[in-house]
Amino acid sequence: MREQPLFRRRYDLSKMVMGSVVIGYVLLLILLPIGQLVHSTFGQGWSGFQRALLNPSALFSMKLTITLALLTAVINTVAGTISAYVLVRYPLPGKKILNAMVDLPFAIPTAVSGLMLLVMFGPKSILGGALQAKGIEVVYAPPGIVLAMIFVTFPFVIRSVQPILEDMGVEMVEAAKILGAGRWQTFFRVVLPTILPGILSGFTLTFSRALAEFGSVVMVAGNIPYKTQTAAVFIYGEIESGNLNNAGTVSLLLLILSFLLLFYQNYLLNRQRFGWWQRLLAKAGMGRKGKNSEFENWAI
Amino acid sequence: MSIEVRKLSKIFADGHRAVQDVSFELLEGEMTAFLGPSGGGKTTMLRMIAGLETPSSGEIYLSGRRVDYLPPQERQIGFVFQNYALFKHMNVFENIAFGLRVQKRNSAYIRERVSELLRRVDLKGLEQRLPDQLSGGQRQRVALARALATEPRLLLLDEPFAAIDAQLRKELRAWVRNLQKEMGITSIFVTHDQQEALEIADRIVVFKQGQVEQLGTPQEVYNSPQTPFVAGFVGEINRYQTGVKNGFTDLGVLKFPIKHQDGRNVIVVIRPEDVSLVPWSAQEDIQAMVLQTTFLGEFFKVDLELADLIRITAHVPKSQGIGLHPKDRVALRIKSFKTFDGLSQLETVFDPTRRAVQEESIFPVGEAV
Repeated sequence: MREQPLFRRRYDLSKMVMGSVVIGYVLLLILLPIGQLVHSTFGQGWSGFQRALLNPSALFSMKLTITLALLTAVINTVAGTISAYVLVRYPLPGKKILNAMVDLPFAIPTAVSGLMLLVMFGPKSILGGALQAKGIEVVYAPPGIVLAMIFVTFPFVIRSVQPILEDMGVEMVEAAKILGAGRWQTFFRVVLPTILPGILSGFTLTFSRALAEFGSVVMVAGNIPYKTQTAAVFIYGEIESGNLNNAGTVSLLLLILSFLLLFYQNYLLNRQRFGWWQRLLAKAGMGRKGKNSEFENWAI
Repeated sequence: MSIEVRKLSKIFADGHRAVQDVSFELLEGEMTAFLGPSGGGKTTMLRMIAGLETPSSGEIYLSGRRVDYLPPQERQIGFVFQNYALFKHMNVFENIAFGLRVQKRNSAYIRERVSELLRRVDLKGLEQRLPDQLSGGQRQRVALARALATEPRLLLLDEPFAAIDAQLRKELRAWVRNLQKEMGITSIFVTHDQQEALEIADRIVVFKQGQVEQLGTPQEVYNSPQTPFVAGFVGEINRYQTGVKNGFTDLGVLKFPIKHQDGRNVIVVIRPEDVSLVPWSAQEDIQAMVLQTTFLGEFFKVDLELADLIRITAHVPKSQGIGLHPKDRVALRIKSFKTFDGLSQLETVFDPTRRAVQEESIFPVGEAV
């Protein structure tokens, strides 16, 4: 029989203290405020929540935010993946400086980012004036919001794809070439499936960050209901006018969306390093004879 | 497929001359080793044959057809990378099937071919595993099967056993060797391990600083090295730089007759196994004192000091080495030695005046001083 160090195991003081600290921290800083938000929102009962939810300007702001954030995520995912590829694979002069500059949008206060865009695309600037002359609205319009969101979330996809590309090395690509695969086949069958987790993770991060963006958006696009009022701006406006119920309801919706994204990011994406979607992609890229031939033609 | 390389050079963008003016010819069906120290240009050479590097100048012919301007896709070559470079998101089956899928073979053929290869490399039942779930040896065999799937005419292996632990490496070597012989596929592998090259290659190309030092069978390379570098890289040597005096090497008691002119500088090379130890006696020409003995399993490595403070290392059988101790006095006989002038070998001399070495089990007889 083995002797069990029962005593030590039961009363590991440091473990208990550390555990309590972490639990207390999470409770105090995260769970309690969330609980309070839920409590306040339902302060006027379910009907108040329903009324706020069906409030057309609240609905508009939610729709606008989700649409523009999705657009931002798509644009930045494509641009970010290409940028990461170039940064890792191509010998560029001044690559180190370029690489360091990628992080700038994270370092700049969002209000400053917004101001920069405002100055650049405002009616008084050359670019802004020219665009306005052609009838293209940027500032105080949805394109301005997308620009702000793109600017603020620019690093996410690059920084999540870059390490995977670096880690991947060139051997897999070389192996594919020797086995007869052309440039496009190599990209779709080998490179893309390998970096897909990074792309998806970058997409999710970009999307959730764009959903939440306030400072730069309000600076570039202002607070025009039914035109440029995003969810975060809406919440701010409702608080300003003392309408806690509306603010709380939209906040709760954003919160639920964030939870879903977080769940997706942490659970679905990381549960299996190479999930079904990747295998599907690899298979689709493979294209058996006859099947998927259109894709094949397009890919090569 | 026979391979011919003519005056091939590779200068990298940073000015590094990885391969310089190399020419050689390899025969069909043979297993060739590119042997040399790291930075010798052997991997660059292999990658140029595969089409992964573009030569700066020179030509490569496979079966008489010039290929150096062709992309790797069109060379019908199988390549096993040092780190295997398996597709991490594909299971074993899909990895092996990759080349066949690219060729758009029908699925029945692919299934049959892959399962045949899996049987060959002894991995049946692991079709669904991802590369992450395999051991190093298994990964290497998947890489090999993947390279062989499209029936290449030439198989290239870049340091194929470097990442595998010693025990398994020996088994895999023999296994790869058998597979190669069975399939009769012309193969080249890169290694810095001379033992590996001697063991499984039909022919060895020794590289040094981007140039070929020698090309020959393992026996030729080992027994008649053409340069002191080859002698030292393939096997161990005692190496002495000396002059010529009255037709003899100017090495004190190691006085060998040579045909060089007096005053010339020569390099004398003696392999440790060509030094045998006999009981000390005043009549022996070369007398020595044991400095140190090291047990190396199959034999003892004995470091000795001759008169004039010249040192020499001998490999002696276990039965003999066990009775030797530091400061023992013994006598030596040199069974064979080689002399080189500059970089080229001039002659190999077996000294006929010395008595043939008899039984080596007369030891232990060393006398303590």
